[in-house]
Amino acid sequence: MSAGHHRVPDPGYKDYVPSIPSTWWLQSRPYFLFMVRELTAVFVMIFALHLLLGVIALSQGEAFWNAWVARAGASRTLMFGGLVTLFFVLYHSVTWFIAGAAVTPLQIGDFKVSVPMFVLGNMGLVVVVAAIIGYFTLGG
Amino acid sequence: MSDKTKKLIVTRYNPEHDSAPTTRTYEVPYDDDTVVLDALNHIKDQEDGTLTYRWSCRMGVCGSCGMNVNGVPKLTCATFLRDYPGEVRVEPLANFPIMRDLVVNMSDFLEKLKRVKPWLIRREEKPVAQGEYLQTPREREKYKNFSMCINCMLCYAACPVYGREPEFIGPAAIALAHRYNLDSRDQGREERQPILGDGDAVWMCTFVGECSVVCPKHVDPAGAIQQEKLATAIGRMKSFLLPWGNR
Repeated sequence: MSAGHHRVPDPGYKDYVPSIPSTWWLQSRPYFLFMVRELTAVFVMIFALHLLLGVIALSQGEAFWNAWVARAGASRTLMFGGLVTLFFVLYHSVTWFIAGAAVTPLQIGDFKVSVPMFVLGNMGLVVVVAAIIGYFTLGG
Repeated sequence: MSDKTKKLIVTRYNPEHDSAPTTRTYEVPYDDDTVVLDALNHIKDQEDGTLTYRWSCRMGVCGSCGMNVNGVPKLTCATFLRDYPGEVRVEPLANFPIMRDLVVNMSDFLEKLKRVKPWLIRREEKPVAQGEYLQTPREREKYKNFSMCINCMLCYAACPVYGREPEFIGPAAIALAHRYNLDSRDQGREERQPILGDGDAVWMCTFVGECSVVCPKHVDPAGAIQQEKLATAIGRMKSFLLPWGNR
């Protein structure tokens, strides 16, 4: 029995306590997908750090900003990393809205909003907001 | 019973002789109606009377016959052999200490259930002469789903957090606490708040979500835990902002 167990032993019995291998998340598909969801945070963090560098460059003047943009545009690693991050962020947003449906189950009158409806509704909202931001920032 | 047979690989552990569990394989006759529990009963009756496992109602109500079938926590009385094309591995529920063969030690679970105070708590009890605490169907509907738990512990067997960190109070106990917190007749949220907001309760959950997938009664403990996260966070915020207020 490893440290941290608080199980109450029954006197007179010698229970066998199975240990959970560190590869438990490879044992089933749902566990694996859970780990992928957690891993997406690492890519988002790298992307956010890179973006933070851009914000710092912006605060230091036009030359620094232009240099950051040029470096970001020229780097194939960053381009590929950005695509991977985009994919993971989309995946994470779906899992996030599934969690959201669990946290705040919606009921309108007697009608219960199902999880797929909740996820689709929120993803639709994301698309609309992204389109509005895109319209203003990309010169509508 | 048809001539068809199915190979069952069953975990065996005798605490008096064995240092670790082993397996034994049995060839069991089956037809379309045979569930895993029937197969175990066949083994016990016909082949090996020492095989030990828990069961009672055979109709998915008592919650006694939970086991891992091909690695997935199941009520064996509702798990049909016809749904498994190959061999069937029958193991004790994962994440629990094994007492003998397919019987696990429930002591830890029972202690945790009690810890969340799963009963109606009133600030002041009404005298019996004043009658019942009344409730509308709509108020009942709020917690009904979370009251369907049969304490089968499948959710604990599916939870890798409980497996890795057994101090986690776990899905069923939190779902039950949530059930009473949602009950219009209950006034015990503040008493349960420190238990649920503690380090070994709702915040240990990483929302793997498998507890709700394996639940034979569709209780959705994962949802209960996430809702309690929100409720305990709001409760803590309120006590921080309004320390003098009546929470």
